[in-house]
Amino acid sequence: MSDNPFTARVLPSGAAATYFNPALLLGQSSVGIGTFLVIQNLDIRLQPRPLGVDVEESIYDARVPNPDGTTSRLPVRPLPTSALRNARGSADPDHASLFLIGGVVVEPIPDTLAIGVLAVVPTRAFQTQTAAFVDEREQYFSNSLQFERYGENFDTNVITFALGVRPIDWASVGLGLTMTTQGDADNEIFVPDASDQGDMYVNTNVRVRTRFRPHAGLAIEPWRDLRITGTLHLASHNDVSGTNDLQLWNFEYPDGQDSFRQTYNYRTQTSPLRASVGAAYDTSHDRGRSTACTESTFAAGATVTYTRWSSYVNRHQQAPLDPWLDTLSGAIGGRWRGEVHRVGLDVTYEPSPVPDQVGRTNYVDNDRLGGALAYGLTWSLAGLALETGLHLQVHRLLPRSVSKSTRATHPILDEFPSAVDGRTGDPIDASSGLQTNNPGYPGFSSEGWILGGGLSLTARFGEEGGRDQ
Amino acid sequence: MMRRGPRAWLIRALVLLSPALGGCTLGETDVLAGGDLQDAGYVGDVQVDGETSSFDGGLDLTGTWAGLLVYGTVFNLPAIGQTEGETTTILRVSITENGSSPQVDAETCSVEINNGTDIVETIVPDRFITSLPTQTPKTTVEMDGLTMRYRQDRELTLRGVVLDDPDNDALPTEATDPRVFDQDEDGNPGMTVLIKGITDGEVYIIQRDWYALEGEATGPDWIDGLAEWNTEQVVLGSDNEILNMQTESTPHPEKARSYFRMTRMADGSGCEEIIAQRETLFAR
Repeated sequence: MSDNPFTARVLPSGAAATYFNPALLLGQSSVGIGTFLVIQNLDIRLQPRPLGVDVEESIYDARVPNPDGTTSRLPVRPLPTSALRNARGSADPDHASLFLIGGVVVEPIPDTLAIGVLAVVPTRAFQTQTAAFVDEREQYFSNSLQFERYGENFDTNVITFALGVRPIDWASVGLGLTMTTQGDADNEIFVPDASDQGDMYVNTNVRVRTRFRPHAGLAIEPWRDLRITGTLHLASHNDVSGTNDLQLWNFEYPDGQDSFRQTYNYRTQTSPLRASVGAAYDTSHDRGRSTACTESTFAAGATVTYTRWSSYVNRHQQAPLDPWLDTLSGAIGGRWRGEVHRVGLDVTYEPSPVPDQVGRTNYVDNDRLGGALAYGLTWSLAGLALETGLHLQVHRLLPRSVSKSTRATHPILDEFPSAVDGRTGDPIDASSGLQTNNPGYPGFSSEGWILGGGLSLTARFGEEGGRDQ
Repeated sequence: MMRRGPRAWLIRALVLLSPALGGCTLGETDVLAGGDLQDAGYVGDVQVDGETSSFDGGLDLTGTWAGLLVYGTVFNLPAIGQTEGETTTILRVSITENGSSPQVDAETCSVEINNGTDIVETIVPDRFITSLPTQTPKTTVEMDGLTMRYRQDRELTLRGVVLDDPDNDALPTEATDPRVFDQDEDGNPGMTVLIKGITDGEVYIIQRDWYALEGEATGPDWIDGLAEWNTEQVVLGSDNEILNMQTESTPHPEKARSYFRMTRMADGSGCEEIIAQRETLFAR
């Protein structure tokens, strides 16, 4: 855990540098453990639906008339609104997660080469992957909106390895790898009687592969108390792909097939490419070294991070209809370290990459303002320098409200277009005008708080290995 | 998450078409008379032991009748297998001449198909029904002792197709075959039925079937008996590819499952009235 979680790319503390900026690993020799609780108090309020937009039972009898007098099947298959399994907006977006954190940084070649390992593991599940549709298709499932970047998808592990090298006196570089997963599940299914869907024979073959996404960092110290940093994290995500190979009894498959093949693809914990620059004024003269100091030091820094959200694909591995926007987020922070006590303070602001959801999709996301406060107490045990840390964070998801517009690039879909009864050929009155079960129609607002708190215990070693100038 | 049941829309081609989709002909009346017939209100000419006999006060069949024709059917459905169900046809039967060979005009009011499964439903559109011509089957009425027998000889019906030799020519298998025509005038080849349920769509078919009836008068206003039938069908296409496959239906081996019932209505009664009263009209 870092004393400066938002400016950790330029103000290192301990093993957190493994992930944020491995160039700053030098001087962070330590081993630490900790726990961190995240409470997401999120709120989505749906605007009331106007009269006449419900999908009626007559949808089951509907055919769409063609200009030539024939009719066609419905282009989409909404359920009658009254038959939806879940009430609109019934899902609760609030969520709490507890993480265990462990990290170690060693310097096999003091002051020249450092190696770091950082692991953040949620206690609820090693990894949670929750899929949701962001348009009218969610009517079949939760029938609710969900924060695209928060909620259960917070629950993921982060396992990172990195090394930092200081090839020249005033500069260091680092390279790291973060583990992601690729899951593949292939199901072979035989259904002996299609009218008895509860009876089927299934063979499942599951593979989970590990992949590593690289990141790199650079730190330059052109003058005594000045540090300039740059980082680059390549895009990372956890994917699940699968197929169902479905056989039916007494069935004629299309030419060249002996079964039906269904595929699905999920993507969660998406982090697009991020690049940052930072600058810090640091009087510790140790390039981020946080070993116990014999005199108080002060550091202040700021970072600006570019995030390529325009490349985002959602949990179903589909690009948003209205592309997301790249963002520039900023963070500033500072810390004071005395012989026994230390304090860190950070603030950050991240604009939402999600454009106003005035059309068919309902990506819920907000601008975020965050603050972090850390306090540490240094003590010793059997000659070992120990630090106990208390870490607090608060994030405000700033209120946001959108209303659907008919002028949207991809407007709300009329799921029950003007139709006729397939049996009688008579027009279906309930199909006139707009009918939709899109849970985000006619609009919604969102806001929230995210609170975090944790404790850490860190043993600093190699105190004498500092490179004080 | 990884394990899923088969998607419902993969259950294709549950086109469960009645072998008696419309065009059903009730006729060939054989009703019996005897001494009791006069008491029962019978009037007209009847046949007794093969000879026509007339009697005053015998059963008069003329008028409007509601007809119920039920075909007990074994369906062989893709992905499901054999199911037992029935095809129910409601008819408006008009008998305009009395005697041993009455003039019978049978108009189809509705056709309902129970496939024996809940996952799909076959719907016969109104357009299909109205495209069916009124049939005038050859009907005879015979006396057998005190029983008035009603019989309709086997009669062949083609739907959506014209054949030089209706009895023996193979049904075309392509929608572009010139012998196929758009009988229900909906812009699609042959006749169109609808599939509704876990999958849906239009299915374009042609049919050849026959049926025959044999029953007896069970009162002055009731005629009941058994139906014999068979059918042949070709699926020409569908607007849902998954429904574009052939299906089979055959008569249920229990002959009692295929039957007909006729109930006398007030003269001039129409299909709407018959359908509205069907629960009571055909209760026995």
